[in-house]
Amino acid sequence: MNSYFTVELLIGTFLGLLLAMVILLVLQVRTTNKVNKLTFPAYEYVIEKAEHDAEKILQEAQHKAQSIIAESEQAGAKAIADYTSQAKEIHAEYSGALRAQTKSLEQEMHDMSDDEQAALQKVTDAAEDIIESQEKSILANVAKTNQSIEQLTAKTEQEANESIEHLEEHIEEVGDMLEAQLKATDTAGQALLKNHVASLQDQADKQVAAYTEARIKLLDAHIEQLVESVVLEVLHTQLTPSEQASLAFKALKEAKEQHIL
Amino acid sequence: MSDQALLLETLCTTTYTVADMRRRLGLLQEGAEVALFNNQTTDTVAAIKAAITSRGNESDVATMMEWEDVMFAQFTASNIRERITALQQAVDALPVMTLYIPVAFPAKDLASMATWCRAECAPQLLFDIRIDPKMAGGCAFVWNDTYHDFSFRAQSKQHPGVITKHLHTYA
Repeated sequence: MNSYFTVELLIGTFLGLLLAMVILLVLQVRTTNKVNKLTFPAYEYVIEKAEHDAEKILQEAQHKAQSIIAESEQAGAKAIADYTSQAKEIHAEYSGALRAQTKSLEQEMHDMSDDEQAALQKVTDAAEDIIESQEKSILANVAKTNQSIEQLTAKTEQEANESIEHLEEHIEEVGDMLEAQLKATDTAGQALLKNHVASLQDQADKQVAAYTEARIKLLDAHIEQLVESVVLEVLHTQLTPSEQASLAFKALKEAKEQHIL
Repeated sequence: MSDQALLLETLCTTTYTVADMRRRLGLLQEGAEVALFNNQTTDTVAAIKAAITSRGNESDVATMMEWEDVMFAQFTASNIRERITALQQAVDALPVMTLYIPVAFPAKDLASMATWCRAECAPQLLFDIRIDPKMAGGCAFVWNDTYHDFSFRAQSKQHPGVITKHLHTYA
């Protein structure tokens, strides 16, 4: 019973709230429509006023911009003129400084050239002195050398003459010795040559004899071969088989006599 | 003397070379087989002789026909193979002299030489004949595994210079 009452209460509350919300919604729609209808002319007025203000502001801005541009052009022209005058001044100043520096350099170079020329002159003088002293020294040395060469030549010539005389004596001695040895060698050589020739003769005789004997043997062999072939031919053509058999029989009997059979 | 010995003796009496011996032995075997293995044969010895005569050459036929009938009568169909084999073995065992001769000798001369050699060297000896025309005259032989040369060529080489010596006397 208690729970049934609670459910009904809840459902009633929910329906009441729902109805209230519907009513509020309808009222809201109707209120909005009315406000729109009332505020539209004020809105248009505000817009037109804003446009008018904006055009005014724009015109003012244009005027200001034109004045600013004119001012900036004047400032630019002035700055260019200032810069041009400054550049001319700098150029003039630089040219003057350069001329002064050039003059200074020329003066310095001239001074240095004079100094170097003087130093060079000194060096040249010193070199000439040295060359002269060297020339004198060389001439003295050449004279000494010539003198030494002459002495050496004389000495060498003397020694060479002595050597030649010595060599001539030595050659004469060697010649005598060689002549004596040659005579001795000639005698011994003749004996040796005779012996050698004799032995060669003997050897040649032996070789000739051996050759003759060999040739004779070879000739004998040829002759025997020839005779053998002739005999073979004769025996084959002239002897009958019975005569051949008789010879073979005799050969067997000969073998018997030699106790081979 | 047994039948085998009689057969060998008969063969050796009329045959002196190895070639003749083998040829005649082959002929004997062939003739005996033809005669023995023929159903129409009535006289075996006559049939063997006829077969040999028709197959052998003149010399072999002439020699074999001189053999006595008992030689041919020894063969029968049952023992021919055994007899022939034994005979071949006996022939192979005979002493052989290899004889080198220049030409083929007549049978009569060969028989004389063989008879002499059998008397002097070995009975039933056979010659193994080799023909060598270079022998010229005489002969050479191998006996007891040794070669002996009694030909004209060998004799002339044993005395070198004899021919030229004689020739020099004519020069």
